[in-house]
Amino acid sequence: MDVFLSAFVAGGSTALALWFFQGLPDWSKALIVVAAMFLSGWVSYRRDYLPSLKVKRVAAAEMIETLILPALVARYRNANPGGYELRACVMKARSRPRIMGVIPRMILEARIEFSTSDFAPGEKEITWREGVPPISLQYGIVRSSLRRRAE
Amino acid sequence: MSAIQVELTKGLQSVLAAPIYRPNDKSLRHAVGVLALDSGSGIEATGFDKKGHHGMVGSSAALIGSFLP
Repeated sequence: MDVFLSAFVAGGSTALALWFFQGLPDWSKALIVVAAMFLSGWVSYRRDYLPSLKVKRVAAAEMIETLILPALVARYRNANPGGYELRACVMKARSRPRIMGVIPRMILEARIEFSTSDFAPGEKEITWREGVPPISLQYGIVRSSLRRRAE
Repeated sequence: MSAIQVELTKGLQSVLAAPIYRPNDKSLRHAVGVLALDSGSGIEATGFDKKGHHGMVGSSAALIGSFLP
């Protein structure tokens, strides 16, 4: 049934295209073909690429939440015992450069956006700040938030 | 900062944060995120200024950078 339906759709669309293209100037035909290719690519991107990217993001967030952050907090507490509060979070960059966002699954309390210009090239060393307000000192532009309690 | 952000961060006394880079970003120019520890306790209690602790957080940031999508 699907084969007949596909053949019918393909034949019908070819006939429609031939009728539609009759008498049109070449440049408009080219424009229509390019637009159709763009539309097809966009639909494919939305259907195939975005869901797989979402799955990867959720999987990464899951691993960070359940494994890495708790393990880091536990290791840190072992290395530096004491009765202090300790929280851990990961904030991920968005696709646009310089503006940082967060991992969706990790949004619990707020989201923080900041600029990568806060980290100079080569500054892989961890920086630290003491006192208030550490967020505005270290993260730059603050808009909304995303914080995760690791314990 | 918004009112809620002020409220969320007003108790913070110390922060230890490491930029997250992709493993192939040798130039360290494109941070893809940040791993941060923070606390309402002061730096003398949390020890965020100790070099050994920096390495611990840095290695976790490198691990995260290797699989972050």
